Amino acid sequence: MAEQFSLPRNSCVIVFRPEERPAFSLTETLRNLAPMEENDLLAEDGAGRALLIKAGEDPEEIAEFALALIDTVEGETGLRMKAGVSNVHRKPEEWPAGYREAISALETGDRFQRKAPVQVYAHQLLERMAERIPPETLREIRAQVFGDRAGGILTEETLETAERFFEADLNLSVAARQMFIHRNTLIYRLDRIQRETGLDLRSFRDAMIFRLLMMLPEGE
Amino acid sequence: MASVSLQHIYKIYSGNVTAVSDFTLDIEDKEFIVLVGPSGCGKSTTLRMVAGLEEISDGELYIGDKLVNDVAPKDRDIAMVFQNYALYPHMTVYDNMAFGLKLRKTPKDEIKRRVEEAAKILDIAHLLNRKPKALSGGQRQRVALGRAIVREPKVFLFDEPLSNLDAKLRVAMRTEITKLHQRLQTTFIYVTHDQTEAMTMASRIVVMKDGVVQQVDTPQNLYDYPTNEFVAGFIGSPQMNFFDVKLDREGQDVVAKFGNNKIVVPASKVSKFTDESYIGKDVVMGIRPENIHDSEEKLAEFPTATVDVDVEVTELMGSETYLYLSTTGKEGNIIARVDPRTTSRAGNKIKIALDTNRLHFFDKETEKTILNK
Repeated sequence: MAEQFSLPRNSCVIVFRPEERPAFSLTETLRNLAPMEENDLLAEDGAGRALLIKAGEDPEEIAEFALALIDTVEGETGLRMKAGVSNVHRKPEEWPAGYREAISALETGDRFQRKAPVQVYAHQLLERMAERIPPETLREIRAQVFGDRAGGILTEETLETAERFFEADLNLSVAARQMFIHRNTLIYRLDRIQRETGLDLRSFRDAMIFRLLMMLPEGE
Repeated sequence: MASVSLQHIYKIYSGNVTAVSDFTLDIEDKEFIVLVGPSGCGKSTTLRMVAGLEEISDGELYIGDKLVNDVAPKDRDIAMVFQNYALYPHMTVYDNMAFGLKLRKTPKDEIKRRVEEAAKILDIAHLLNRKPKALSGGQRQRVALGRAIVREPKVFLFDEPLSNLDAKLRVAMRTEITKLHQRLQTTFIYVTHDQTEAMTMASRIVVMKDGVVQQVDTPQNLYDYPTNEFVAGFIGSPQMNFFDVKLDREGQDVVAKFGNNKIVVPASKVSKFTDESYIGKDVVMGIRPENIHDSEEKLAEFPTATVDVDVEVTELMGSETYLYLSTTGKEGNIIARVDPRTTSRAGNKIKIALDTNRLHFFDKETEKTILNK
């Protein structure tokens, strides 16, 4: 009797991309190391990447699974990988679209120089919007805000300050606590950014503009 | 339990990019070594070479007495805790902790013994049947530690394990990891860019910059006797204040001049100069924020080391106050850590006193200390 196999109903496509081509089979390694569940499907995509169709309802959970698997593979074999996670798809006919989303998540992560090993398509709305801004328009906005001093203004400290402030939803006290600095120090830094760029990051409007400019690598 | 010895280790990437250069260190059994430095200094690369996750370009690495350059990561008897502390969401805490052992085909009853023991050590025995979703950030971090503990490795490697935690939890976990080290009595190698973590946890700290070891010493020695300007600035928060000064002889005294300011360097300090010929030259003077005072008492104690300054910002931290000061001959602010009862306020012109027994001096070219210990 043929083996019974049921296709996963709700699932995400995860594409695993190794940092360098391994000397061993990637899919075989994943098959050995991943705690696979019934209905999970693993395949190669012919471009050195592995794709896993993982049953699940929540891209967050699937992203966490991908991250745990990346750690397992790195710890056991030394191979470093990145992963892209698609939206949830209801039918197998949608898997090709899921595959494209996962690849797109990886590529968008690369373009925006994201360090996180797992890129989730559903989290990249702002990035995908930014990708559609014509480079010329972006250069104009950049020039308007930074002049030719972008390198001098966008120091590591400034970028870190802004990023943490945004992560804290523009809350001064929370951001200062997260950064181990005094609230006054944060205010002092934000004032300096305002002096140099004209953008007050405490205002949502200015914060949005700065965030957008921060997202794209220089030279875009 | 094991010692770890890194002998003239290099990591050179294609294109001749040197990430780690001539790293030599003998780590004793049960030591808690922290590698610290800014991003890109080679600390994580060094750790990954110890783990076997990165090939060693040159040099020799020993774990115990065994040369392990060509030993696969899984056979090195080490366990690594990554910064992601990612757990498999569909598996219970027990299964997450047991997973690495299952991959190694460890017998079931042995897995059970090890997981239960680790859970007891980490105080998470009551969580073993829960899924990661039901855990707090700190509990998840403990499970990640538990996953490493069950391997019963000779050496634990930590790659910035606390960097994804919020500030409060980070402080709590710092203590947990120190306690864990005391309890497990195993060699720990820990990488961080946070000098506070390094200072509070390490038995010895390795400060790195641009792939090169700058200094290896106990936390207290690093703080008191930094070997160069980089270490002096990196260790300590707020960081040490640096002044471009000229050393001159005036009668019996040696003075350090900057802008309109002049400080008499005590004879006890001058006697520690590695070379008297620095007198008459431009050097860099350093002083930590807590050695700068604004009280009448200290102004009287150090009458030949006072500086007129403008107070730009004050930060009341509760147990202390930071003063951000400016003066002639000093680019950027001087930061002083003073008594919270200080009357100094932004906009005031005040006098400060430098505790000259605590001055540091560095060669302007080489940036190395010019003081003997």
